[in-house]
Amino acid sequence: MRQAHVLLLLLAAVAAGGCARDAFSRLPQGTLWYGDAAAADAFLAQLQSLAGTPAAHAAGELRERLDGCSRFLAFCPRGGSCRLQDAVTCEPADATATAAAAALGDAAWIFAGEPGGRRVYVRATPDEAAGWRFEAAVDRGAVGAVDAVLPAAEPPGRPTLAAHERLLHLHVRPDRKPDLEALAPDVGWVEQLYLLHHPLLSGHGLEGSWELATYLPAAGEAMAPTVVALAVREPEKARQAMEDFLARAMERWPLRRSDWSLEGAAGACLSNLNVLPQLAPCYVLTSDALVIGWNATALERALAAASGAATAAAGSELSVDLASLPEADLRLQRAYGHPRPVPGSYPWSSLRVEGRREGGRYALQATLAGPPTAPAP
Amino acid sequence: MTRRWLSLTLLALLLLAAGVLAARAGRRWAGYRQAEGVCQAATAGRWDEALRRSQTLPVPRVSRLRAADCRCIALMSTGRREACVELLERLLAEPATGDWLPNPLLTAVLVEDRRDRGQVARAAQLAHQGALHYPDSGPLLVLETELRLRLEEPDGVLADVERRLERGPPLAPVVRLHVARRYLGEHDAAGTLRLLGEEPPAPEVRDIWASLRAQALALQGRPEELLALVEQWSAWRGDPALPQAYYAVLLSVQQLEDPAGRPVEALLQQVVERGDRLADEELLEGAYVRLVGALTVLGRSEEALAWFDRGAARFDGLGHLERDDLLRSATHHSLGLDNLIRVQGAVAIRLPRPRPGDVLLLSPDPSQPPDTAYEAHPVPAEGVVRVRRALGTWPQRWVLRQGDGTVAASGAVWPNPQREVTVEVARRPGVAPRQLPPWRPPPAGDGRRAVVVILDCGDWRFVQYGRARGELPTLGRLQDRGRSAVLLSEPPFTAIAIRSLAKPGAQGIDGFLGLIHRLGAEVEGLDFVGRNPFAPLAWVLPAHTDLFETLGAGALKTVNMLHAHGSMEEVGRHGRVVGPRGAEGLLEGLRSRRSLTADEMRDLDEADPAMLSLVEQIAADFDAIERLAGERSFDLIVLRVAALDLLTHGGFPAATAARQDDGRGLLFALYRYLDRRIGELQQRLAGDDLLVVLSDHGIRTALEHAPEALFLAIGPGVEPGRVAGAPELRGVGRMLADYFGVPTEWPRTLRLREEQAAGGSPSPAGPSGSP
Repeated sequence: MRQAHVLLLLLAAVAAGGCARDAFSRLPQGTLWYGDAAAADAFLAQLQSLAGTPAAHAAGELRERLDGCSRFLAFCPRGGSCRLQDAVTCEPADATATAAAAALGDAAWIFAGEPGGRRVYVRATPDEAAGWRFEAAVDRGAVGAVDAVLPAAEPPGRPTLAAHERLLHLHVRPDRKPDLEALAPDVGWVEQLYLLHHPLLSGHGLEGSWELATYLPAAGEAMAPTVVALAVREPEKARQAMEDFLARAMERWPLRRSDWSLEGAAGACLSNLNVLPQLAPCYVLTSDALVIGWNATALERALAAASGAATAAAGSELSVDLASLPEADLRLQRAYGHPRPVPGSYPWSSLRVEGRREGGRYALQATLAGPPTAPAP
Repeated sequence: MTRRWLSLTLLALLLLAAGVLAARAGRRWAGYRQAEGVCQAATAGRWDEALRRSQTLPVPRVSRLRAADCRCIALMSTGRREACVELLERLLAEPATGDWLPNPLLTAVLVEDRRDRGQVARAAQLAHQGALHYPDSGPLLVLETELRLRLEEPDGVLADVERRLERGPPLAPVVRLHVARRYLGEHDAAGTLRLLGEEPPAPEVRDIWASLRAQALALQGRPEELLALVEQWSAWRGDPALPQAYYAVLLSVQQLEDPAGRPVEALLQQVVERGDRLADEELLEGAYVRLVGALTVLGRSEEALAWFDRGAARFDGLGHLERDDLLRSATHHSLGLDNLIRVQGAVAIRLPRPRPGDVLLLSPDPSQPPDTAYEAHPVPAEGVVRVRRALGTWPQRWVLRQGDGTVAASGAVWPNPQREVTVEVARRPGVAPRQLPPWRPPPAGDGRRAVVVILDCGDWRFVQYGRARGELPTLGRLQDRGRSAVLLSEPPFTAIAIRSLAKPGAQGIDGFLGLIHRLGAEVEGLDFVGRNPFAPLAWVLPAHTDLFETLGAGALKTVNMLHAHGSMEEVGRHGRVVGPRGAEGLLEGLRSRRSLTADEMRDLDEADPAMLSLVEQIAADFDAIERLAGERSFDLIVLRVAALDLLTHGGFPAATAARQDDGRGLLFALYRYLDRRIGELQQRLAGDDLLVVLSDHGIRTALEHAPEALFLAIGPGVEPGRVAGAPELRGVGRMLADYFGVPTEWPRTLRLREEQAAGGSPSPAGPSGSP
C-alpha cells in the first residue's frame, strides 16, 4: 500500500495538474486509480524503463496486475491497510467504478488520493509522441512547507534567471507563506542555531514571488550550479535584512564574509562554508531581486546570461529539462571519480507544469514530453 | 450634359486628390521642419528648445524618428537618461518603426540599459543589429562581443567578430584588443596572440597590447619570449616598472622560472619595493599577495609577515590573505594544504619550577596520521621544551603529566612561522587518569552479534588529546587492544558516507537526481528540517543492495539506527528492523532525547544551553543502544550519533583556541561522556560480540569536514593493531558481512584480521582479538 501510495504520489507530483471537476468530488475517500488499462500500461512501461529503481519495480508489479484488463480500477479506502497493487480489479462494475467512470471523461486514466494530507485529482491523457498531458487539482488544505511552491492566482513577477543550460526552473508566486514556525516548534535553541525567525525569512522587503534554477554542471563541478532569486519590493530593505542575517549568522558561526559584486550589483560571499559540495554561497541584489547562489560561479551562470527577463511570466511554472539529465549525470559522476560513469536513461525529454489557484483549489496543467528523438545520422 | 457632369466630377476628384497630396506633403514638410528644428537646437546645445520643440513628435515616420533621436540627445544631456531610454524603447516597439535604429551612441545606451536590467538576450540582439547597422561603431561591436559571449559558445562569437574586424573598421585596433582580452578570459592563449599580432599598435594602446601579449605568453609557458617582450616594452616606456611587475607576477602565477636565473620572489620584492612608481594599484597588490605566498611556502615566514603587514597597511588588507591565515587553519585556502604542512613554526613550552618526573606530551606533527600518539618529552631542569611543528589546520596540543601520573595542565598552541611561540604553563592540581576496572572477558552469548556506533564528525585528534589527558580509557583500550584505522571518507559528507555503509553496493553518486537526493539527506540532518525534502526522488534512483536487508535476509536480525528519518527511504528509516528471513518491523519506544541527569549536567556544566539539547539526543541514543545490547535481541545494531556533528562544528573554534584549556570545554567534556557511554555499552556485550566505533568523517575547520575518519573495533576474530594506510570507509559494510559470514560482492577495503585477505569469514572466536 505504502509503495503504491508513494508511487502514485510521485506520479501526482510529477504530473501535478489540476481539473476541478465535480465528478471528482463524488469519488469515495481514499486512493483511487482508474482508467484504460492499455494507456496505464503504456505509462507504467515508461516508468519501468527506469531500470533498477523502486519506481520501475512497482511499475512492473502493477503491469502484471493489469495484464488482460481492458478497464481497471485500483482503490484503497481511506484509513484502510492495503497496497494499490493488490487492489487492482479488471472490468470493474461497482458503484466506485461508476463514479470513477463519470470522473474519467475523455481522459485515459485518473488518479485521486491524499498525498501529504491534501486531496489531489489527476486526469492523464497521452499525446501522439509518447508524452503525457495532465490536469490536476490540489485542495488548499492546511498550511505546510509545500505552500512555498503552491501557486497564487496571480502570476509571479518578472523572471530573473538565465535559461541557458538550465536543468530545472521553478518560478512561483506562492499562494500562502509557509509556516516556518511550524517547522521549528522548539524555537529556543533552533532559533539560536539557525536564525529561522529572522525578518529576512519572514519576507521583509520581498515582493512575494521567487525563482529557483539549477544549471548543467561544468566539467569537474561537484554540484549543479543552483540559484534562488527572491523578487524584492523594497531593495534597500531586503539588502539590510540580508546583511543583518549575515551579521547575526556570523555571531553564531565562524563564517567569513567578503564583499562581492556582479555587473554592478553589490552583494557578499561566505567563503568558508564547505559543509556541502562546493558550497560558498554568495548573494547579489539586483534592481528587482535578491539572488542567492550556491557559489559565485552559480550566480555568474544565472545572471551573466540572464535572458528570461524579457517577458513577464504568465503564471507560476516548473520546468525540468530531462533530456539534459544524462549529460549532467555523466559530468557529476566524473566529478566524484566514478570508475565507470553511466548516464541515466529517462523516458521523457521534459516536464513542464503551470498552475494557479482557482477558488479553494490549485489548478495545475503539466506536460511530460515524449522521449528525446535521436539525432539524424 | 452627361459629359459635362463627368468632366466636373473628374475635376473635383483631381482637386480632391491634389488636396490630399498637398495636405500630406504639408504634414511631411511640417514634420521635417519640426525635426530639423529639434536637431538644430540639439546640435547647438540648446537643450530646452530641443525638448520644447519635441514635446510632441511629428507623425511622419522619418521625421518622427529623427526628432526622437535628437530629443533623446537633449534628454541625455540634461541628465534624463531614463526618459530617453523609455522613448526609444517605445519607438522600437512600434511596428511602423521597422528596422530603424537610433544613432550608434544611443543604440549603445539602449544596449547597456537592457543589459543592466538583466535583459541580456535582448541587449545582445540589439547590439548585434546595431553593430551590423553601424559597422564603424567600435563601442557597439565591443558590446556585442561582451553580450554574445555570455549567451553563446565563445569560439563562434569570437570567430565572427574577428572576421568582421578584418574589414578594418576605424576602431578595429581597439576592438581587436578587447576581443583578445576575451580570448584570454577563455584561456585561449593562441587566439589571443593571433589577434594581437606581432607588431605593436599605436602608442596609446601599446600598454594594453603588451600586457595581453605577456599574459598569453606566460599562459603558454614561454618565459624566454616573455622576457624579450618585457625588455622591449620597458624600452618603449622608458620605465621598466610596469613591464617588470607584469613579468614577476606572471612568472609567479604560472610557476615559470626566470630565464635569467633570478628567483621569482626576488623579482616580486623588487616590484613591491618600487611601490608608487608602478601606478597600478591592482597589479601592486597582486605582487604583494604573490610575494607573501611565495615567502611563506619557502619557509621565510618572518619576511612574509613583514611584507604582509606593509601590504595590508597600504591596501587596507591584502587580497584574500589575513594575518591569522598565515598562522591558522584558513591558510590552506591560500597556500594549499600541502604547502601549509611544509611551513613550520617553533613552539617553546615553559614550565616554571619543573618537578622531577614532569613530562610534556605533545601532539604529533600534522604530517603524521591523526591517530598518532602524543610524543613524551621529559621536562628539563630549565623548564623549557622546544619543538618545531608544521602549521596544519589543527593547533598543536600539549599535556603536562606529573611524575605521579596525574595531569596538571594542558592546552593548545598555534605554531608561528615568523617567531617562536611561547606557552607559559600554569600548573593546576593534578588530576588522576580515569581508570577502568580490570577487564574480565564476559561470557560468550548465544551467538555472534555486532554493535556499531558511528560518531558523526568524530575526529581522531580529539580522541588522542583526551587519551593524553588520561580521560578516555574506553577508547584507549579499544585502540590499544583492538583494531584501529584512519578511514578515508571521500568526499567527507555524512550522507555519502552513511550511504556507502548502508548501501555498500553503491559507488559514488548516481548523477544529478542522486546528488539532489543526497543533498536533501544532508539537509535532513538539520533538526528543523528533519526529513529529506527530496525523498520522493528515491523512487527514480537505482536501488542498491542494502546492508540490513542483505544480512536480515537470512537468520540475522538487524536494526537500523542511522537517524535517517522516515523519508530517507534509501538508507532506511531510523528504528527499522529487518530480519530474520527478511521480516520487517519498526522498533518501538525510541526517544529522540531525554533530560540529562544531575551527574551528566555537572560534567557538561560549561555547555551552552542551546548545545545541551543536542547532548540530550546523544543521551537518548546511548540509552537505546544499551538497552538493545542488553536484551540481546539483535544480531546487528548500527547507531549514528547524529547530534555530535552539530556539536562538533559549533564547539570547534573554542576547542582549537590557543590557550591552556585543561580539558575544559564542551567538546572535551563530550568526548569524556562518549567514552563513558561506550564503556557502559561494552559492559553489555558478551565475549563473542563485535564492537565497532567509527566516524563518518573528521573535522578540519569549524565549517569544513576532514576525510580522515575514526575506526576502532574489538571482538572475536579481530586482530589487534593498526591497519596500515587509509582504508576507504565504504568497505565497512563488506567487513560486517564478512564478520557474519554472509557472502557479498561489495567492495572490500578493510578487514578485521589479515587472514581474511584470502577471502572467507573469520573464525568465530579468534584468540587474540578478545579484549
